[in-house]
Amino acid sequence: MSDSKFEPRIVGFLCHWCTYTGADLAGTTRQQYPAGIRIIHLMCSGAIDVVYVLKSLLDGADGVLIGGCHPGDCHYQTGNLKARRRIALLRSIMDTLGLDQERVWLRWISASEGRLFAETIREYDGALQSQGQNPLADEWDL
Amino acid sequence: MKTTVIDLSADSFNGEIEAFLTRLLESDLVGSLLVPKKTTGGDNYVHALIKNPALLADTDIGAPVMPVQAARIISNLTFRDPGEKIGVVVKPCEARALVELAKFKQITREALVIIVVDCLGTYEPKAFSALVKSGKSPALDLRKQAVTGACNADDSAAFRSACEICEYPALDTSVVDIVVGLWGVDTEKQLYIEANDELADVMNEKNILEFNGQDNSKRQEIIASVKAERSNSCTQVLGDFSSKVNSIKGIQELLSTCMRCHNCMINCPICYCRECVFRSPTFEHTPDQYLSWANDKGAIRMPANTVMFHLTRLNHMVISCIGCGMCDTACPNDISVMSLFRTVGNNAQKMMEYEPGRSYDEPAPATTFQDTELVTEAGMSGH
Repeated sequence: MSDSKFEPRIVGFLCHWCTYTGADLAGTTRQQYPAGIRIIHLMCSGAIDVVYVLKSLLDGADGVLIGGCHPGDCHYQTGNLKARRRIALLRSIMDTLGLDQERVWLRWISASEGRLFAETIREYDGALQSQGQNPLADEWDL
Repeated sequence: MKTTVIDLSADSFNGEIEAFLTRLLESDLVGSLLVPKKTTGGDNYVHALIKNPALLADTDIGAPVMPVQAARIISNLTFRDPGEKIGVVVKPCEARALVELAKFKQITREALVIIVVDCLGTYEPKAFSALVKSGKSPALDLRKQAVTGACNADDSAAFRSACEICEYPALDTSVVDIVVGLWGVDTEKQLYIEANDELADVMNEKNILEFNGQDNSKRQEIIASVKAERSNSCTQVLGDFSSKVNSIKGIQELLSTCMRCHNCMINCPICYCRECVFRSPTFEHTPDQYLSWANDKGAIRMPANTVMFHLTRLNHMVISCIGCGMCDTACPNDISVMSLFRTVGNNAQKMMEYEPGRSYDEPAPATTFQDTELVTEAGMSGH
Protein backbone atom coordinates (compact mmCIF):
# COMPACT_ATOMS: atom_id res chain seq x y z
CA MET A 1 0.00 0.00 0.00
CA SER A 2 1.63 3.27 -1.00
CA ASP A 3 1.48 6.24 1.37
CA SER A 4 -0.67 8.32 -0.94
CA LYS A 5 -3.42 5.69 -0.77
CA PHE A 6 -3.23 5.12 3.00
CA GLU A 7 -6.73 5.51 4.39
CA PRO A 8 -6.65 5.31 8.17
CA ARG A 9 -9.16 2.97 9.74
CA ILE A 10 -10.73 4.50 12.81
CA VAL A 11 -12.97 2.65 15.25
CA GLY A 12 -15.42 5.07 16.85
CA PHE A 13 -17.10 4.26 20.16
CA LEU A 14 -19.83 6.90 20.27
CA CYS A 15 -22.35 7.61 23.00
CA HIS A 16 -26.02 7.37 22.07
CA TRP A 17 -27.14 10.75 23.40
CA CYS A 18 -24.50 13.08 21.99
CA THR A 19 -21.74 12.00 19.63
CA TYR A 20 -23.68 9.24 17.87
CA THR A 21 -26.54 11.64 17.27
CA GLY A 22 -23.99 14.28 16.22
CA ALA A 23 -22.61 11.81 13.67
CA ASP A 24 -26.15 11.25 12.43
CA LEU A 25 -26.61 15.01 12.08
CA ALA A 26 -23.34 15.22 10.13
CA GLY A 27 -24.85 12.74 7.69
CA THR A 28 -28.28 14.36 7.36
CA THR A 29 -26.69 17.78 6.88
CA ARG A 30 -24.37 16.33 4.21
CA GLN A 31 -21.10 17.14 5.97
CA GLN A 32 -18.14 15.54 4.20
CA TYR A 33 -15.62 13.48 6.17
CA PRO A 34 -13.33 10.50 5.47
CA ALA A 35 -15.13 7.18 5.21
CA GLY A 36 -12.53 5.25 7.23
CA ILE A 37 -14.44 5.44 10.51
CA ARG A 38 -16.39 2.41 11.72
CA ILE A 39 -18.90 3.43 14.35
CA ILE A 40 -19.89 1.34 17.36
CA HIS A 41 -22.93 2.59 19.24
CA LEU A 42 -22.68 2.79 23.04
CA MET A 43 -25.29 4.11 25.43
CA CYS A 44 -22.63 6.20 27.21
CA SER A 45 -18.90 6.89 26.81
CA GLY A 46 -18.70 5.76 30.44
CA ALA A 47 -19.78 2.30 29.29
CA ILE A 48 -16.50 1.75 27.44
CA ASP A 49 -14.33 -1.08 28.68
CA VAL A 50 -10.76 -0.56 27.49
CA VAL A 51 -10.63 -4.21 26.51
CA TYR A 52 -12.49 -3.24 23.31
CA VAL A 53 -10.20 -0.30 22.62
CA LEU A 54 -7.18 -2.56 23.03
CA LYS A 55 -8.72 -5.25 20.83
CA SER A 56 -9.23 -2.66 18.07
CA LEU A 57 -5.64 -1.43 18.28
CA LEU A 58 -4.03 -4.87 18.54
CA ASP A 59 -6.09 -6.06 15.57
CA GLY A 60 -4.70 -3.16 13.55
CA ALA A 61 -7.11 -0.23 13.74
CA ASP A 62 -5.11 2.93 13.05
CA GLY A 63 -7.01 4.98 15.62
CA VAL A 64 -9.79 4.71 18.17
CA LEU A 65 -12.12 7.63 18.83
CA ILE A 66 -14.26 7.66 21.94
CA GLY A 67 -17.00 10.27 21.67
CA GLY A 68 -19.09 11.48 24.59
CA CYS A 69 -21.23 14.39 25.79
CA HIS A 70 -19.66 17.64 26.95
CA PRO A 71 -19.02 17.73 30.72
CA GLY A 72 -22.29 18.56 32.45
CA ASP A 73 -24.38 17.20 29.57
CA CYS A 74 -24.03 13.46 30.22
CA HIS A 75 -27.42 11.76 30.07
CA TYR A 76 -26.28 9.64 33.02
CA GLN A 77 -24.83 12.66 34.88
CA THR A 78 -21.12 11.76 34.96
CA GLY A 79 -20.39 8.77 32.69
CA ASN A 80 -18.24 10.94 30.44
CA LEU A 81 -16.04 12.08 33.35
CA LYS A 82 -15.48 8.45 34.35
CA ALA A 83 -14.57 7.71 30.73
CA ARG A 84 -12.01 10.53 30.87
CA ARG A 85 -10.27 8.86 33.83
CA ARG A 86 -10.28 5.50 32.06
CA ILE A 87 -8.87 6.93 28.84
CA ALA A 88 -6.22 8.95 30.70
CA LEU A 89 -5.16 5.71 32.41
CA LEU A 90 -5.10 3.78 29.14
CA ARG A 91 -3.00 6.47 27.47
CA SER A 92 -0.60 6.56 30.43
CA ILE A 93 -0.15 2.77 30.22
CA MET A 94 0.41 2.94 26.46
CA ASP A 95 2.91 5.75 26.87
CA THR A 96 4.90 3.90 29.54
CA LEU A 97 5.15 0.86 27.28
CA GLY A 98 6.15 2.83 24.19
CA LEU A 99 2.85 2.37 22.36
CA ASP A 100 1.56 5.41 20.49
CA GLN A 101 -1.01 7.03 22.79
CA GLU A 102 -2.17 9.36 20.01
CA ARG A 103 -3.95 6.39 18.49
CA VAL A 104 -6.59 6.88 21.18
CA TRP A 105 -8.66 10.06 21.14
CA LEU A 106 -11.43 11.13 23.46
CA ARG A 107 -13.66 13.98 22.26
CA TRP A 108 -16.80 15.69 23.48
CA ILE A 109 -19.23 16.24 20.60
CA SER A 110 -22.88 17.10 21.26
CA ALA A 111 -25.97 15.99 19.32
CA SER A 112 -26.15 19.40 17.65
CA GLU A 113 -22.50 19.45 16.59
CA GLY A 114 -22.66 17.58 13.29
CA ARG A 115 -20.16 19.99 11.83
CA LEU A 116 -17.73 19.42 14.73
CA PHE A 117 -18.08 15.66 14.28
CA ALA A 118 -17.07 15.94 10.62
CA GLU A 119 -14.23 18.32 11.48
CA THR A 120 -12.98 15.93 14.19
CA ILE A 121 -12.91 12.97 11.82
CA ARG A 122 -11.07 15.05 9.22
CA GLU A 123 -8.59 16.19 11.87
CA TYR A 124 -8.03 12.66 13.21
CA ASP A 125 -7.71 11.26 9.69
CA GLY A 126 -5.08 13.91 8.92
CA ALA A 127 -3.17 13.17 12.14
CA LEU A 128 -3.22 9.44 11.43
CA GLN A 129 -2.09 10.03 7.84
CA SER A 130 1.08 11.60 9.20
CA GLN A 131 1.50 8.92 11.89
CA GLY A 132 1.19 6.21 9.26
CA GLN A 133 -0.29 2.76 9.50
CA ASN A 134 -0.63 1.13 12.94
CA PRO A 135 2.49 -1.07 13.16
CA LEU A 136 0.51 -3.60 15.21
CA ALA A 137 -1.50 -4.45 12.08
CA ASP A 138 1.41 -6.58 10.88
CA GLU A 139 2.18 -8.28 14.19
CA TRP A 140 1.01 -11.88 14.52
CA ASP A 141 2.67 -12.47 17.92
CA LEU A 142 0.31 -10.54 20.20
CA MET B 1 -0.52 5.07 68.69
CA LYS B 2 0.88 3.41 71.84
CA THR B 3 3.98 1.29 72.10
CA THR B 4 5.35 -1.37 74.39
CA VAL B 5 8.54 -3.36 74.77
CA ILE B 6 8.62 -6.73 76.49
CA ASP B 7 11.96 -8.06 77.68
CA LEU B 8 12.65 -11.57 76.51
CA SER B 9 14.60 -14.38 78.05
CA ALA B 10 16.91 -16.25 75.68
CA ASP B 11 15.31 -17.30 72.39
CA SER B 12 11.76 -16.78 73.61
CA PHE B 13 10.51 -14.50 70.79
CA ASN B 14 8.08 -17.01 69.31
CA GLY B 15 7.01 -18.19 72.77
CA GLU B 16 6.21 -14.65 73.90
CA ILE B 17 4.26 -13.96 70.69
CA GLU B 18 2.38 -17.21 71.15
CA ALA B 19 1.49 -16.18 74.71
CA PHE B 20 0.27 -12.78 73.47
CA LEU B 21 -1.82 -14.38 70.71
CA THR B 22 -3.23 -16.89 73.23
CA ARG B 23 -4.34 -14.06 75.55
CA LEU B 24 -5.86 -12.30 72.54
CA LEU B 25 -7.73 -15.44 71.42
CA GLU B 26 -8.97 -16.16 74.93
CA SER B 27 -10.27 -12.60 75.30
CA ASP B 28 -13.42 -11.42 73.56
CA LEU B 29 -11.45 -9.16 71.22
CA VAL B 30 -11.20 -11.84 68.54
CA GLY B 31 -13.03 -15.13 68.02
CA SER B 32 -10.35 -16.65 65.82
CA LEU B 33 -6.85 -15.93 64.54
CA LEU B 34 -5.31 -16.30 61.10
CA VAL B 35 -1.60 -16.95 61.66
CA PRO B 36 1.27 -18.42 59.57
CA LYS B 37 1.82 -21.94 60.90
CA LYS B 38 4.40 -24.56 60.02
CA THR B 39 2.95 -27.20 57.71
CA THR B 40 2.98 -30.86 58.69
CA GLY B 41 5.70 -31.30 56.07
CA GLY B 42 7.77 -28.79 58.03
CA ASP B 43 9.25 -26.89 55.07
CA ASN B 44 6.57 -24.23 54.59
CA TYR B 45 4.37 -21.83 56.52
CA VAL B 46 0.74 -21.36 55.54
CA HIS B 47 -1.96 -19.28 57.15
CA ALA B 48 -4.04 -21.34 59.57
CA LEU B 49 -7.42 -20.18 60.84
CA ILE B 50 -7.09 -21.01 64.50
CA LYS B 51 -9.85 -21.41 67.07
CA ASN B 52 -8.07 -23.57 69.64
CA PRO B 53 -5.18 -21.72 71.36
CA ALA B 54 -3.28 -25.00 71.71
CA LEU B 55 -2.85 -24.97 67.94
CA LEU B 56 -0.90 -21.71 68.09
CA ALA B 57 2.11 -24.00 68.56
CA ASP B 58 4.48 -23.98 65.57
CA THR B 59 3.23 -20.62 64.35
CA ASP B 60 5.77 -18.02 63.28
CA ILE B 61 4.41 -14.56 62.59
CA GLY B 62 7.53 -13.52 60.70
CA ALA B 63 8.15 -16.59 58.56
CA PRO B 64 9.90 -15.16 55.46
CA VAL B 65 7.71 -16.95 52.94
CA MET B 66 4.39 -16.04 51.32
CA PRO B 67 2.96 -19.02 49.44
CA VAL B 68 -0.41 -17.27 49.15
CA GLN B 69 -1.25 -13.58 49.51
CA ALA B 70 -3.27 -13.49 52.73
CA ALA B 71 -5.55 -10.73 51.42
CA ARG B 72 -7.15 -13.33 49.14
CA ILE B 73 -7.82 -15.65 52.08
CA ILE B 74 -9.15 -12.80 54.20
CA SER B 75 -11.50 -11.84 51.39
CA ASN B 76 -12.89 -15.39 51.46
CA LEU B 77 -13.35 -15.09 55.22
CA THR B 78 -14.94 -11.66 55.34
CA PHE B 79 -16.59 -10.84 51.98
CA ARG B 80 -19.63 -10.80 54.19
CA ASP B 81 -19.59 -10.21 57.93
CA PRO B 82 -18.39 -13.48 59.47
CA GLY B 83 -20.24 -12.74 62.72
CA GLU B 84 -17.12 -12.57 64.85
CA LYS B 85 -13.85 -10.68 64.86
CA ILE B 86 -10.93 -12.39 63.19
CA GLY B 87 -7.41 -11.39 64.13
CA VAL B 88 -5.19 -11.66 61.05
CA VAL B 89 -1.40 -11.71 61.16
CA VAL B 90 -0.12 -10.35 57.86
CA LYS B 91 2.83 -8.78 56.10
CA PRO B 92 2.78 -5.11 55.04
CA CYS B 93 1.96 -5.93 51.39
CA GLU B 94 -0.90 -8.14 52.54
CA ALA B 95 -2.24 -5.34 54.74
CA ARG B 96 -1.98 -2.85 51.87
CA ALA B 97 -3.90 -5.24 49.64
CA LEU B 98 -6.58 -5.39 52.36
CA VAL B 99 -6.92 -1.60 52.22
CA GLU B 100 -7.56 -1.82 48.47
CA LEU B 101 -9.98 -4.76 48.82
CA ALA B 102 -11.93 -2.82 51.46
CA LYS B 103 -12.55 -0.12 48.82
CA PHE B 104 -13.94 -2.74 46.45
CA LYS B 105 -16.12 -4.16 49.26
CA GLN B 106 -14.31 -7.49 49.13
CA ILE B 107 -13.54 -7.56 52.86
CA THR B 108 -15.37 -6.43 55.98
CA ARG B 109 -12.83 -4.22 57.73
CA GLU B 110 -14.92 -4.02 60.92
CA ALA B 111 -14.65 -7.79 61.28
CA LEU B 112 -10.86 -7.68 61.36
CA VAL B 113 -8.15 -6.97 63.86
CA ILE B 114 -5.19 -6.50 61.54
CA ILE B 115 -1.84 -7.39 63.07
CA VAL B 116 1.00 -6.47 60.72
CA VAL B 117 4.50 -7.79 61.24
CA ASP B 118 7.53 -5.94 59.85
CA CYS B 119 8.71 -7.81 56.76
CA LEU B 120 12.42 -8.51 56.51
CA GLY B 121 12.07 -10.03 53.04
CA THR B 122 10.58 -13.29 51.79
CA TYR B 123 11.92 -16.26 49.84
CA GLU B 124 10.14 -18.06 47.02
CA PRO B 125 8.36 -21.05 48.56
CA LYS B 126 10.73 -23.56 46.93
CA ALA B 127 13.81 -21.61 48.07
CA PHE B 128 12.41 -21.42 51.60
CA SER B 129 11.71 -25.13 51.56
CA ALA B 130 15.26 -25.86 50.40
CA LEU B 131 16.72 -23.71 53.19
CA VAL B 132 14.69 -25.52 55.83
CA LYS B 133 15.60 -28.91 54.37
CA SER B 134 19.28 -27.99 54.50
CA GLY B 135 18.89 -27.50 58.25
CA LYS B 136 18.75 -23.70 58.33
CA SER B 137 16.35 -21.48 60.27
CA PRO B 138 15.57 -18.73 57.75
CA ALA B 139 13.14 -16.88 60.01
CA LEU B 140 15.48 -16.76 63.00
CA ASP B 141 18.52 -15.89 60.87
CA LEU B 142 16.77 -12.83 59.44
CA ARG B 143 15.27 -11.73 62.75
CA LYS B 144 18.73 -11.60 64.31
CA GLN B 145 19.85 -9.15 61.63
CA ALA B 146 16.85 -6.85 61.95
CA VAL B 147 18.37 -4.77 64.72
CA THR B 148 20.88 -3.17 62.36
CA GLY B 149 18.55 -2.94 59.38
CA ALA B 150 20.95 -4.93 57.20
CA CYS B 151 18.86 -8.03 56.53
CA ASN B 152 20.56 -10.16 53.93
CA ALA B 153 19.19 -13.26 52.28
CA ASP B 154 20.93 -16.54 52.96
CA ASP B 155 24.07 -17.05 50.84
CA SER B 156 22.45 -19.93 48.97
CA ALA B 157 19.18 -18.13 48.13
CA ALA B 158 17.77 -14.76 47.13
CA PHE B 159 14.74 -12.82 48.29
CA ARG B 160 11.78 -12.59 45.96
CA SER B 161 12.41 -9.86 43.41
CA ALA B 162 9.40 -7.88 44.64
CA CYS B 163 10.85 -7.81 48.18
CA GLU B 164 14.19 -6.48 46.99
CA ILE B 165 12.52 -3.32 45.69
CA CYS B 166 9.73 -3.10 48.29
CA GLU B 167 9.42 0.38 49.74
CA TYR B 168 7.00 -0.72 52.46
CA PRO B 169 9.03 -2.94 54.84
CA ALA B 170 6.91 -1.71 57.78
CA LEU B 171 3.54 -0.01 58.31
CA ASP B 172 2.23 2.16 61.10
CA THR B 173 -1.12 1.93 62.84
CA SER B 174 -2.89 4.31 60.44
CA VAL B 175 -4.31 1.41 58.39
CA VAL B 176 -3.79 -1.53 60.76
CA ASP B 177 -4.59 -2.18 64.43
CA ILE B 178 -1.42 -3.75 65.81
CA VAL B 179 2.19 -3.64 64.60
CA VAL B 180 4.84 -6.12 65.65
CA GLY B 181 8.12 -4.35 65.01
CA LEU B 182 11.29 -6.16 63.98
CA TRP B 183 13.36 -3.47 62.22
CA GLY B 184 15.69 -1.82 64.69
CA VAL B 185 14.65 -4.20 67.46
CA ASP B 186 17.05 -6.57 69.21
CA THR B 187 14.67 -9.52 68.88
CA GLU B 188 16.86 -11.78 70.96
CA LYS B 189 16.19 -9.54 73.93
CA GLN B 190 13.04 -7.60 73.17
CA LEU B 191 9.60 -7.77 71.65
CA TYR B 192 8.25 -4.47 70.28
CA ILE B 193 4.54 -3.90 69.71
CA GLU B 194 2.46 -0.86 68.69
CA ALA B 195 -1.30 -0.53 68.72
CA ASN B 196 -3.76 2.20 67.94
CA ASP B 197 -4.81 4.14 71.04
CA GLU B 198 -8.24 2.66 71.45
CA LEU B 199 -7.16 -0.95 71.10
CA ALA B 200 -4.08 -0.38 73.29
CA ASP B 201 -6.32 0.87 76.10
CA VAL B 202 -8.62 -2.14 75.78
CA MET B 203 -5.66 -4.54 75.76
CA ASN B 204 -4.26 -2.80 78.85
CA GLU B 205 -7.59 -3.15 80.60
CA LYS B 206 -7.94 -6.83 79.74
CA ASN B 207 -4.34 -7.61 80.73
CA ILE B 208 -3.46 -8.77 77.25
CA LEU B 209 -0.57 -6.37 76.91
CA GLU B 210 0.67 -3.51 79.01
CA PHE B 211 1.58 -0.50 76.89
CA ASN B 212 4.49 1.29 78.50
CA GLY B 213 5.14 3.88 75.79
CA GLN B 214 8.66 3.02 74.73
CA ASP B 215 10.62 5.39 72.53
CA ASN B 216 10.93 4.06 69.00
CA SER B 217 13.11 6.69 67.34
CA LYS B 218 15.94 4.26 66.56
CA ARG B 219 13.48 1.92 64.88
CA GLN B 220 12.08 4.81 62.83
CA GLU B 221 15.60 5.75 61.69
CA ILE B 222 16.34 2.21 60.56
CA ILE B 223 13.04 1.91 58.71
CA ALA B 224 13.75 5.21 56.96
CA SER B 225 17.18 4.03 55.84
CA VAL B 226 15.81 0.67 54.62
CA LYS B 227 13.13 2.53 52.67
CA ALA B 228 15.71 4.85 51.12
CA GLU B 229 17.89 1.92 50.09
CA ARG B 230 14.93 0.04 48.61
CA SER B 231 13.79 3.15 46.80
CA ASN B 232 17.20 3.36 45.10
CA SER B 233 17.08 -0.31 44.09
CA CYS B 234 13.56 0.20 42.83
CA THR B 235 14.55 3.13 40.62
CA GLN B 236 17.43 1.11 39.22
CA VAL B 237 15.54 -2.17 38.63
CA LEU B 238 12.50 -0.52 37.09
CA GLY B 239 14.71 1.85 35.08
CA ASP B 240 16.49 -1.17 33.56
CA PHE B 241 13.14 -2.79 32.91
CA SER B 242 11.65 0.21 31.14
CA SER B 243 14.72 0.63 28.96
CA LYS B 244 14.01 -2.89 27.65
CA VAL B 245 10.22 -2.89 27.59
CA ASN B 246 9.53 0.37 25.73
CA SER B 247 8.06 -0.80 22.44
CA ILE B 248 5.83 -3.52 21.08
CA LYS B 249 8.97 -5.56 20.43
CA GLY B 250 9.97 -5.20 24.09
CA ILE B 251 6.50 -6.32 25.17
CA GLN B 252 6.66 -9.31 22.82
CA GLU B 253 10.07 -10.28 24.19
CA LEU B 254 8.80 -9.99 27.77
CA LEU B 255 5.76 -12.16 27.06
CA SER B 256 7.52 -14.60 24.75
CA THR B 257 7.15 -17.53 27.16
CA CYS B 258 3.67 -16.67 28.45
CA MET B 259 1.48 -19.76 28.35
CA ARG B 260 -1.75 -17.95 29.25
CA CYS B 261 -2.27 -20.03 32.38
CA HIS B 262 -3.73 -16.96 34.15
CA ASN B 263 -1.71 -17.81 37.26
CA CYS B 264 -0.65 -14.18 37.66
CA MET B 265 -4.31 -13.18 37.72
CA ILE B 266 -5.40 -16.03 39.96
CA ASN B 267 -2.76 -15.25 42.58
CA CYS B 268 -3.10 -11.46 42.41
CA PRO B 269 -4.81 -10.16 45.57
CA ILE B 270 -6.22 -7.18 43.67
CA CYS B 271 -7.77 -9.20 40.81
CA TYR B 272 -10.90 -9.94 42.79
CA CYS B 273 -13.47 -10.39 40.01
CA ARG B 274 -15.43 -13.63 40.42
CA GLU B 275 -15.45 -13.96 36.68
CA CYS B 276 -12.58 -12.36 34.81
CA VAL B 277 -13.56 -11.02 31.39
CA PHE B 278 -10.91 -13.33 29.94
CA ARG B 279 -12.77 -16.32 31.34
CA SER B 280 -16.18 -15.04 30.31
CA PRO B 281 -18.21 -15.63 27.14
CA THR B 282 -16.65 -12.41 25.74
CA PHE B 283 -13.54 -14.47 25.04
CA GLU B 284 -15.26 -17.68 23.97
CA HIS B 285 -14.72 -17.30 20.25
CA THR B 286 -16.07 -19.45 17.48
CA PRO B 287 -13.69 -21.24 15.09
CA ASP B 288 -14.57 -18.91 12.23
CA GLN B 289 -13.58 -15.87 14.32
CA TYR B 290 -10.06 -17.25 14.89
CA LEU B 291 -9.78 -18.11 11.21
CA SER B 292 -10.96 -14.67 10.22
CA TRP B 293 -8.31 -12.98 12.44
CA ALA B 294 -5.65 -15.31 11.06
CA ASN B 295 -6.80 -14.40 7.59
CA ASP B 296 -6.58 -10.65 8.32
CA LYS B 297 -3.00 -10.80 9.60
CA GLY B 298 -1.78 -13.89 7.81
CA ALA B 299 -1.23 -15.58 11.19
CA ILE B 300 -2.12 -15.08 14.86
CA ARG B 301 -0.50 -16.34 18.03
CA MET B 302 -2.52 -19.06 19.74
CA PRO B 303 -3.94 -19.06 22.30
CA ALA B 304 -5.07 -15.66 21.02
CA ASN B 305 -4.97 -12.34 22.89
CA THR B 306 -1.86 -12.89 25.02
CA VAL B 307 -0.63 -9.28 24.89
CA MET B 308 -4.21 -8.13 25.29
CA PHE B 309 -4.64 -10.21 28.44
CA HIS B 310 -1.74 -8.45 30.15
CA LEU B 311 -2.61 -4.98 28.81
CA THR B 312 -6.22 -5.38 29.93
CA ARG B 313 -5.20 -6.58 33.36
CA LEU B 314 -2.95 -3.51 33.62
CA ASN B 315 -5.88 -1.26 32.75
CA HIS B 316 -8.22 -2.97 35.17
CA MET B 317 -6.07 -3.11 38.30
CA VAL B 318 -2.63 -1.51 38.01
CA ILE B 319 -3.80 1.59 39.90
CA SER B 320 -4.37 -0.61 42.96
CA CYS B 321 -1.24 -2.77 42.48
CA ILE B 322 0.59 -2.91 45.79
CA GLY B 323 3.65 -4.64 44.31
CA CYS B 324 3.55 -7.85 46.37
CA GLY B 325 5.00 -9.77 43.43
CA MET B 326 2.71 -12.78 43.75
CA CYS B 327 2.42 -12.63 39.93
CA ASP B 328 6.16 -13.34 39.72
CA THR B 329 5.93 -16.15 42.25
CA ALA B 330 2.99 -17.62 40.33
CA CYS B 331 4.51 -17.43 36.84
CA PRO B 332 5.75 -20.88 35.80
CA ASN B 333 8.01 -19.35 33.17
CA ASP B 334 9.66 -16.60 35.22
CA ILE B 335 8.17 -13.66 33.33
CA SER B 336 8.77 -10.49 35.33
CA VAL B 337 5.11 -9.55 35.58
CA MET B 338 5.78 -7.62 38.79
CA SER B 339 8.27 -5.30 37.07
CA LEU B 340 5.72 -4.66 34.32
CA PHE B 341 3.02 -3.80 36.82
CA ARG B 342 5.25 -1.70 39.07
CA THR B 343 6.73 0.25 36.14
CA VAL B 344 3.36 1.02 34.61
CA GLY B 345 1.77 1.43 38.05
CA ASN B 346 4.29 4.03 39.22
CA ASN B 347 3.42 6.33 36.32
CA ALA B 348 -0.32 5.72 36.50
CA GLN B 349 -0.46 6.14 40.28
CA LYS B 350 1.53 9.36 40.04
CA MET B 351 -0.86 10.70 37.42
CA MET B 352 -3.88 9.92 39.62
CA GLU B 353 -2.07 11.14 42.76
CA TYR B 354 -2.95 7.81 44.29
CA GLU B 355 -0.99 5.49 46.53
CA PRO B 356 -2.57 2.07 46.93
CA GLY B 357 -2.80 0.89 50.51
CA ARG B 358 -2.30 4.35 51.99
CA SER B 359 -5.76 5.08 53.34
CA TYR B 360 -9.23 3.57 53.52
CA ASP B 361 -10.70 7.02 52.85
CA GLU B 362 -9.15 7.63 49.42
CA PRO B 363 -11.59 6.23 46.86
CA ALA B 364 -10.25 3.93 44.15
CA PRO B 365 -9.50 6.23 41.18
CA ALA B 366 -11.78 4.40 38.73
CA THR B 367 -14.79 4.94 41.02
CA THR B 368 -14.53 8.70 41.19
CA PHE B 369 -13.63 11.81 39.19
CA GLN B 370 -13.25 15.55 39.43
CA ASP B 371 -15.07 18.01 37.20
CA THR B 372 -11.93 19.43 35.65
CA GLU B 373 -8.92 17.15 35.54
CA LEU B 374 -6.67 15.02 33.32
CA VAL B 375 -7.44 17.08 30.22
CA THR B 376 -3.85 16.83 28.95
CA GLU B 377 -3.49 13.21 30.06
CA ALA B 378 -6.65 12.22 28.20
CA GLY B 379 -5.23 14.02 25.14
CA MET B 380 -7.88 16.73 25.06
CA SER B 381 -5.91 19.95 25.46
CA GLY B 382 -7.02 22.55 22.96
CA HIS B 383 -10.31 20.81 22.25
